[in-house]
Amino acid sequence: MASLVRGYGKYLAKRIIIMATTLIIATYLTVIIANMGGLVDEIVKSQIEIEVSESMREDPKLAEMTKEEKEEYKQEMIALRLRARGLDKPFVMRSFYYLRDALTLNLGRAMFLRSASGSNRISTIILERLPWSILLYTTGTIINIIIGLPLGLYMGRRALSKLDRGVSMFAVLTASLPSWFIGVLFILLFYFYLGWFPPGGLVSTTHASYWSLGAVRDIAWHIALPLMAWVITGFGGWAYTTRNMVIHITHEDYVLAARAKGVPEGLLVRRYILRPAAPPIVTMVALSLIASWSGAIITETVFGWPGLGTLFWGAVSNMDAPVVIGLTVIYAYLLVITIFALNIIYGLLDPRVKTGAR
Amino acid sequence: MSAPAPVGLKTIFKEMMGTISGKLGVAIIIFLIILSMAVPVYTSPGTIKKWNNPKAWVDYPKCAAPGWTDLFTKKTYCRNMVFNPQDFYKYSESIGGIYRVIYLIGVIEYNYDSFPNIMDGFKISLITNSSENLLVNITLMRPDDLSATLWSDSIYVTGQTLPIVTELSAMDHDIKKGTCTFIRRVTGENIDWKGVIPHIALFAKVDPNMNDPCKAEVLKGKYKLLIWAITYDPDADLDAKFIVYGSVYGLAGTDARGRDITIGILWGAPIALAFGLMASVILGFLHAIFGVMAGWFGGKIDEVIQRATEMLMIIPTMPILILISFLFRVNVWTLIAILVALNPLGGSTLTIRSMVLQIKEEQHILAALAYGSSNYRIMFKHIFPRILPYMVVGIVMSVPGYIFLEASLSILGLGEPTLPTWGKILSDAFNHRALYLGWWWWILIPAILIIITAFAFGLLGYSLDKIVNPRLREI
Repeated sequence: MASLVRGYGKYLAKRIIIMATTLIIATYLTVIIANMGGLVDEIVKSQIEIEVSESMREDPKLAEMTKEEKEEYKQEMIALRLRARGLDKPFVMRSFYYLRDALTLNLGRAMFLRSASGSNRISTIILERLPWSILLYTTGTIINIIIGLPLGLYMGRRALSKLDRGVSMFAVLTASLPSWFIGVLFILLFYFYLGWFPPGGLVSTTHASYWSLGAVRDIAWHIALPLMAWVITGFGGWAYTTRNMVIHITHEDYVLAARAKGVPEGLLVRRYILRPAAPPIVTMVALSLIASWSGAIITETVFGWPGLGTLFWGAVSNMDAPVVIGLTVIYAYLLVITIFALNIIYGLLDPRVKTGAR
Repeated sequence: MSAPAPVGLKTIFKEMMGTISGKLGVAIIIFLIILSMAVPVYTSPGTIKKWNNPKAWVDYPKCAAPGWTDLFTKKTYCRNMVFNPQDFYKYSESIGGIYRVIYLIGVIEYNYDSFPNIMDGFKISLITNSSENLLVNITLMRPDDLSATLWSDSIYVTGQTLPIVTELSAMDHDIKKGTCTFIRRVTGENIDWKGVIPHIALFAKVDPNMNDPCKAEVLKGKYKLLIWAITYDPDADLDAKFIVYGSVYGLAGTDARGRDITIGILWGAPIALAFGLMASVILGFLHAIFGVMAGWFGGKIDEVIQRATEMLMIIPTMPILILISFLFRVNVWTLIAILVALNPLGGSTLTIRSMVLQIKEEQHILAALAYGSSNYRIMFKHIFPRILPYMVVGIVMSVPGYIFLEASLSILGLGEPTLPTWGKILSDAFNHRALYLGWWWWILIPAILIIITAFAFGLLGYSLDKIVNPRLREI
């Protein structure tokens, strides 16, 4: 017993180290890249210089100063502002401050982007966009799972039937198809030629509240195309993966043995096939639900959907490094915590983990 | 994951060609290779350099549909017609050695059911080497014996370098005014010159609605463009170039800059194939090599590779890729390098590792060890061939992902900066609002090519998967 606990403890400790390292590496990588290795700071510095000279030109107090005095005063002001923004230290050092702030979820303020309410607090900006990403992609992912899992189970039980062949083929073909790609074709068909759905956006008129019936209907009308694109490119993969898993398990010796000794088919499926298939499926479900929170950068951009994906793209194209870092770190945290939670559960369920056996 | 049975690539290929999906996949890939080889046939060597040069495309219509649109409608759409200086009948006479009169006549057989390109209409260029000012008159004589004076003005030559080129496009104010006078004369309607669309009205049957692109009817027949000029330079010469921009063009139409999409599509084929294959082969081999190393050496190396793989699989690739591509304009080849840097290890590393763990225990490996084969000899001579079929499936199946990745970066404007890739054509279309304006060819043709390429590799992968993982096909 003691050795089991020790084995589990060792397993957990190892996981924690790996996850923490992953988190730090991913965040630091983002800090470096988002700041362009310090180049973004140079841009900010030159902006500060311009700001200072602008404000000095308008300041009547400075009119009597000599040129040298003015220059000195200017340098002083610039140094002051740089220090206020923490830009007086070299980038290498600052990159670690940024890393620390990101890891402690001290997201700070955006450089250029603003929330709809005018705030530049990154947490406000992100929280404003998050519901829309969840509404679209989490709904989409849940629909994918609801269609894909049962379909996959059914296909696995009836391998090589017409349905199985058809859906397998469909899954292989859509597996790598990005949803924005289908989205573009959908806009052409359903917006331009048929005129059934709007080409993008969240609402077509302003609503006093998003909870009124009119607003809900408006949003539902706008969400239809991106949601359809997401589901069409998604559910095939779910069905195919589940199917392959079921087929693999069906060939295990213990399933054959159970069938040979006459276990009823229903029980066989439930206890001998579904139960071992559950952990990988739970992992897949958990990870894709988490992934759906971050939205889809390109699909949202194509449809003009105001979620986290368009926020990310807006942040990248405005070189707003703090927002990019904030989004990445939150996503990395969510992912790492989910994977860690799954690890704990599997560690508890799988006796091999505790003994350190593989 | 069980160890794969030892099968040769040849057997696999033969079996694959026995399946419908395999045959279809191979057929599409051969078609794409032929398409790639058609590039030098269809285009001249310098074409790729002029792709981003607007001057190279002035003779092409803008946003013209593909020529085969005709097949689906009963109409014959207006083709692009270019009348070069040698296509004009020229008569010039020096009068008394003091001044010179030049006549140019171009004959246009206009037997189409549609008007010229609604965006460009037509363009007349006058090229002269005269050292004195010219008085020029341009008249269009229509099949119904009516004639419209389009332009009657002087070309001033003082202070300009010869030859002087004067370009008149259909929507120039002078031409609009000239056309307006014509419409007023033949219909009696008092219309405003600003609303005149010369390339509609000039080619339409006389009718009060002759200026309305939706209601006007095309007047078919022989049009004559008559240009005469008079100048006080007895040695003067005048040439003209006349372009009637077609409403359809080529096999794939043109884009908003007048670029022939066919050329872009043809050029995109080798790029898509090369990029997709290179990325997947390089990454596939890299993942496999690390998997074999982890499985074979075990111990510390195994541990490090496994943990590093887990980490790399968590790091979000797409956002980082978007970030890098935005900050540093990358071409497709640099993109491969970045992909390698971000993903040297992947899911297949772990799968291959577990395969190697099983192959390692087999007797021929033990025998090889016993007679003293080196680690690398065993890894590359005995283990690698065994995992090769599995690896090939992985590589083939990952090709579509990379082709779409290129398109995904392109749609954000982060794609290849100079070469025309399919993704870039698609993103150009998207950015020019082709989706909302109904320029379907600009969207559909690159999209369909991307899809069929991806599908070809998907189909190959599907049939290979069934052969390499036999469990998936028997029940």
